[in-house]
Amino acid sequence: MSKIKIMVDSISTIPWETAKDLGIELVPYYVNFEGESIREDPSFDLKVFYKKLRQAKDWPGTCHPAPQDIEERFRRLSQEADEIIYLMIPSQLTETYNIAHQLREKFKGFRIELCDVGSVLGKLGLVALEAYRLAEAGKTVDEILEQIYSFSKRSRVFITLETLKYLAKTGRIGKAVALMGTTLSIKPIVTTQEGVIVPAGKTLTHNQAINWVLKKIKSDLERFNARKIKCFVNDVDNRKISDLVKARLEENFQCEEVWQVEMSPLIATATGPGTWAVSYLITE
Amino acid sequence: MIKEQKEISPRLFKDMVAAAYTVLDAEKEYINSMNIFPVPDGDTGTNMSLTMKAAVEGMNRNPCSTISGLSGLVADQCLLGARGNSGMILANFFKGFAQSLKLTDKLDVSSFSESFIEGTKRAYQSVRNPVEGTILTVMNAVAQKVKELSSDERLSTFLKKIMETADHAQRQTPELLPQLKRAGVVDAGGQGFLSILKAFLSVADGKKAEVFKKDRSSLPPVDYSTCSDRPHYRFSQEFFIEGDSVSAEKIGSSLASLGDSLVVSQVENRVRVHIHTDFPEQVKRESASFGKFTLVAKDDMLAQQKALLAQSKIGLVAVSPGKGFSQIFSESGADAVVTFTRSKPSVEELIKACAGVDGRVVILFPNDSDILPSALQTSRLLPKEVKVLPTKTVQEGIAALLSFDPQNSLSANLRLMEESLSQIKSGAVARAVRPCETPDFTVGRNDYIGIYDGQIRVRAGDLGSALLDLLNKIIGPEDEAVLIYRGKGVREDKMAKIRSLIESHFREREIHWYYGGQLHYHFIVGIA
Repeated sequence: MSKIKIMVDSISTIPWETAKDLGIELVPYYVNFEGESIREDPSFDLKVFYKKLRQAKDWPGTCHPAPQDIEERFRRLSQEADEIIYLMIPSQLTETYNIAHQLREKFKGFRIELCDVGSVLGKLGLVALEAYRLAEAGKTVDEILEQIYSFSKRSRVFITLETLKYLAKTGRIGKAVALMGTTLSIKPIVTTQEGVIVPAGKTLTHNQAINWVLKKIKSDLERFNARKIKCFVNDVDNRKISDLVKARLEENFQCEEVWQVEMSPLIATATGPGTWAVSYLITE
Repeated sequence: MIKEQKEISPRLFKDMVAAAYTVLDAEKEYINSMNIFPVPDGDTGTNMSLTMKAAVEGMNRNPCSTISGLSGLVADQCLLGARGNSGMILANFFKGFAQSLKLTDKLDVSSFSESFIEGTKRAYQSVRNPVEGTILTVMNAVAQKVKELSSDERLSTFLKKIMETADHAQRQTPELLPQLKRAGVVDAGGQGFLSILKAFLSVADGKKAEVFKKDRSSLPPVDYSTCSDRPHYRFSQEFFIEGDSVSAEKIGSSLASLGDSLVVSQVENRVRVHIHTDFPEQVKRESASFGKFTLVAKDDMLAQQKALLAQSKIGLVAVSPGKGFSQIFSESGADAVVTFTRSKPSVEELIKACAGVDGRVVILFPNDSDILPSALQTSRLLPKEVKVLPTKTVQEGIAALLSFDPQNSLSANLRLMEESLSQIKSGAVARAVRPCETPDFTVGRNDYIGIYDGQIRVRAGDLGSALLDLLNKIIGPEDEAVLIYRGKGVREDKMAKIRSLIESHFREREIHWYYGGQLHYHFIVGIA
């Protein structure tokens, strides 16, 4: 049986410890803040970062993984494993795919599959965790890739923002721009659709946004004729709301797994304080 | 008994073809509504039905009593009358189907299978770049299936199995063609082919075909917004080239570089061409060099697409009591806003606004319990479908508008919007124009009063206190946001004091201040 290793972007918000325990390789992204390039890794102090972020005069920039971070992982894993599947965020949003694609050329004869799941955050994380489980269960790369496609169809991410201001700064706002420029202060809900950030809904309050997301999950369960979900709840310095969201999810659905994780610093920078997100995978 | 039948007589074949036309004609609107590929021009059902109509008319004109004669006639007539991409593919299918029957002149389960395989082959060959997830996929699935089926099957069982296979393949089309998936539809051409098979089966069963005759509003929503990209080529052109030595092959190669969706077929000395192109004149010049050019149809697909996008839209019309609200409604997605100041809008004004917006259906938000009757009257008078969402206040209207999702169907939207009405509490502050009594207190003339749920709940001597007392009455522990809309009668310079009074009392809540511009109420408040 060939050994398959799973690599995934840190933006999946799979906790570093979990990744280490399972042997999933996280690829770190960068935040450029106050003249420094800070790597998303276990040493990153989110509390300090959020505090600084709220007072920031110059909003930080974000950056894709350094080529050497990817290359180092390819090199190391090519010694440890027979094949790699690297799940990454959409090529429409970053350069990661192109970088990885070029680096892959150096490892001719060793199979590295680059897999654009077309999404971010917990949706990427959930798909990566499933891919890992399939690899552990002895499935082949081709079998896993086929399943990844089906998982990404059965999963979604909804991100509720305090404002679209920060997302607009990243220039990755796509059609969500339609939600902007309104007098009314709304909580915009955005999602990813084939790798692009698109508007999903508008609500006046976080509570309404939670109800909105619960309705979406319910209708998806009906659509797939399923009962169970696995989910991620992410937040940017908004533990209160993420606790509430988690409780509401558990109270309304059969959750096989609920991962409550703080947002990756990069996504926090891109979406702004107060943001929270729910990702879910319809299982059975 | 017809059910035991193993062979299709010429008479039965004729009935089957006639039924195919009848069913297609009845279901054409349904099929049109899912037509988004290759171009969302909403005419696949009509085109396929016209193609079959040509076959039926041909049969009526030319008496013919052999299977080979009849099937040949159907094929030729279909080719001559073919409309659109799917029509051309269908005609070619019948051409291959007939070819295979020339020698046997007998249509039983075994020769039907062979003919179906030949028909599918010919359909694929007729298209320059076959795309899966279309009518071709459905044909091919059946062509594969018939190979497995025993030739001893009863006709009815045989057709039933074919139908199941086709139905399954049709359901899979969105998985093969991302454009379908994005729009939430199955392929229109495939659906048309399914209608034909359904007609065949019901005739073989001796029954009348069950027609899927639904109007568009009850159908699952087609997300045409996913196909709002300009078509690759603007014009769809269909024509004949007639000449002694015309060759479909040669004409096809010479036109291939001028467009796509190219289908070319030959009936004796006539070649029928379907092409999507930006250069209709050049196509005509090029083709005319091979023989006599006769135009059958030229459609501007860009215009068709525009019309379809406009038609599938749901129009939103809101009534607003002031300029500030009007701007908020417009920004929140209303296609038209009827602003009134002193007197409530007339039915005529509402009709004008509803008639003026794009869309097959309009949702009208009266936003005032006094305007509700005029809104209902509007929906009765206008020929266009107008649904009235019974919003009693502007605050409800805003909440409803925010929950509108263009990707949902009309009924899903109405349900969501109605649910949203309970998610907002509406209150208002005004000045009493005359003294009155409430169960709890007496209101003097010129007192400020706070209204909630249609009842006077507070009275105060000054505006700030009235607003504060009212908010205290309404705001519950679960509420997050307070939206306060200032009326026309409150001067900007009075606001600083009122703001600080309110904000210092409700530090835990999000307080948002807006200009509403309403005449009668000093403040309108929405709490969520």
